Amino acid sequence: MKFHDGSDFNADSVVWNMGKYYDKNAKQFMAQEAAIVQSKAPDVSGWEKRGPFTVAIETSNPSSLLPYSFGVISMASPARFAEVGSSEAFALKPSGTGPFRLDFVDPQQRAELSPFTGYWDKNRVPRVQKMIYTPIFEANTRTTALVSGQVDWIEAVAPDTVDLIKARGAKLVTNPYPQVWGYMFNCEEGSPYADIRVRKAFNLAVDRDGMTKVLNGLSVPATGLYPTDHPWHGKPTFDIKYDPAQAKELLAQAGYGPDKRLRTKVLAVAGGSGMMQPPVMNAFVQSNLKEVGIDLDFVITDFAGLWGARPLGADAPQSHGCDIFNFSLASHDPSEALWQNGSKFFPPRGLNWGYAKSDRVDALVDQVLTSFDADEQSRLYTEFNGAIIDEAFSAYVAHDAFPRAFGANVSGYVEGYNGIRVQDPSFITIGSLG
Amino acid sequence: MYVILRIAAAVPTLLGVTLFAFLLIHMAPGDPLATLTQGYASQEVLAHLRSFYGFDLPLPVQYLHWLGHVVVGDLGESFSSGRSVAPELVSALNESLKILALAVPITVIAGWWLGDLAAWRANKPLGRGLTVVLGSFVSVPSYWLGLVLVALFGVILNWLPVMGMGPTTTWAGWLTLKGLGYLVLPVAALVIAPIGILARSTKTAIETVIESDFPEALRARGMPPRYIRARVARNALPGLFSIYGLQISYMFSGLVLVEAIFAWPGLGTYLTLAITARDIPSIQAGILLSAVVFVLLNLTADLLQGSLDRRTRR
Repeated sequence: MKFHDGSDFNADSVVWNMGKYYDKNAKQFMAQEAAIVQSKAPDVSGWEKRGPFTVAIETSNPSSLLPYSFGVISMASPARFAEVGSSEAFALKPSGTGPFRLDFVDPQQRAELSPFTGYWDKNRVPRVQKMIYTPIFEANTRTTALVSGQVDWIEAVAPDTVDLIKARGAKLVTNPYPQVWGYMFNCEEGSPYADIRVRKAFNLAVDRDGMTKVLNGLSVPATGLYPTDHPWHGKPTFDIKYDPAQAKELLAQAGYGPDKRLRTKVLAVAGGSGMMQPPVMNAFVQSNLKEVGIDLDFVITDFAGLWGARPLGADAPQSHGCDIFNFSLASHDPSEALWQNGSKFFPPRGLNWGYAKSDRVDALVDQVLTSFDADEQSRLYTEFNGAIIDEAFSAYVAHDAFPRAFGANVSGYVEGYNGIRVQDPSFITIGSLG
Repeated sequence: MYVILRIAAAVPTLLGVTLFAFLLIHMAPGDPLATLTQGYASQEVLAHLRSFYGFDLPLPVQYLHWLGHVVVGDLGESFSSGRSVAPELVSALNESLKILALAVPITVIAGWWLGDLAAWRANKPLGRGLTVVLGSFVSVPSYWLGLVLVALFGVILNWLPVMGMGPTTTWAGWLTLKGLGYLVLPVAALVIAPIGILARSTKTAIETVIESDFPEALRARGMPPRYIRARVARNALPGLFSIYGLQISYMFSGLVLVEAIFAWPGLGTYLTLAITARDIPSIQAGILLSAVVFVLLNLTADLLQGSLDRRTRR
């Protein structure tokens, strides 16, 4: 395997890149990237070249899920870095090992990519001559650019533009990845959501099929971290369905009713990475919950503020006294699911914002992390997912269908199944419109 | 002396702007490193980042450090891109200037011409009609207008490109007909409201002079109508400089919405992205640049006004 600049990808380049993210004394260390990578793979404590194509990685704790985190440890070419001299220059002239090479980038304006003919998998050398990426922030402009033929492919299709896209002959593609939108509860003593009946009532009060209609079919109802047909969904005993009557009954058992409504603050955003359409979705959920006696007040922060509050916990000032945290989670990497639900990951050690705790879940977390047999790990992780649904630590509402649209002359796109981070347009071809 | 004093008076204003730009960001709640860490990060990494960006220093010290760097052109490093802010900002400003280089002259010329026309024909159907139309211009939000233009010319008619810069990525391309096609819609969305405001202000200023004694005196002395019109304009102009200066300054803020609609990678888009990402160095630099432009434009307007009407020199 070669980098785009022709240098070899081998154990030395892996060791160099590990230093970029974990060794603050290394010349190539990049603090900003290190913060992101270390947040995804925090247990890495050492690495060692064992052969020309073998590197041993040491972790501070048993970490059987580490291979899932390798997707964020991207491999840059040491030779290119040495040639350009700085991370700033490298960003404008990068060199990796993927099927596309970056020929030109003008920050915030466009990036031009062309096929890397030296790609190791000859079957996946891209068919198109050039890919040009342009950021278009306004959803209506994105749609207009597609239907007018100015662009061939748009991401993040807005629900209210679906009909126009289809009417103009463009192709809408959806595929619900393991990415889920929902709410985390504050399970600490003193919070109303420390009572599992209240958490279950919340879950039963949400009309998930209605949410799909609100989003014009661009989501899939979610009752757990994974779609129900996913092998990791698990076999929960808590049957989550839209049942306002049962929700009211549970709330009554917990001491709430028409004369004692439950008022709750929710920490949320107006938009952000992976957050889908928060204003519309939160308004819909708010109306659902109102019918059963739960009144939601939203405390809107910016995305950085929301993500900054997550590792600090529900009791931190940054959470503004909220008992519910509106989140989106990409669960193709199981680590985050564990960090969000195991008691060993209470803030500031992890992302268990609501201090959710269950002996059964904790035992499964430990077993998953120390199980290095793939089948057994998968079985335990599936059981873990069933357990967190039963505990109702969160209310999962929708899986993002990741809508994207293509012009009528585009064909060959193959969906990935690992979130928004990696898409492979190698097989795309652009035909004439006739 | 007036010019020197006026320029000197702008210096404390600019210093106040730098303080405002600095404090505004740091007053926002939340950890400034939240963007960089995107979630859980070790205390060691956080401490390193805090020290690297100077967030562990007292606020007044941070301000003086930042100001010291600003004075020599170092606007820091972007949290989002990791690159120096100064060249990114200059690049963004360059792209915005491609819209403003058309929008500002169009606004000034159209604002003056329509206002002058409406004033001299105030009691005629044309003048009355213009007054109504200009009033509607003032009420049109640029964001809404931009979306309407996109829908009309992009979807329904498919006459014009609705996003991006096309050949105007270079100034040479800006001079081409194809380049002009990419500018029509963003410029139109940006200029309509300011044209309305300036034309109405111009109309009022000219009408005030028309109703004074000296135009009648000039007529009585047999001066030709063109001469009278020019003298009226000369007298109305000084009072309008500050309004024209302000409106041109406001067009900078209008860019935020217009550039978002048309995917134009200028200063407006740069600031929007920086704010969304809580990219503190970029936000500070963007606010500072916008404010400096505002102060300089108004200083220019004041100086021009003072040169035409010495009574305003106080």
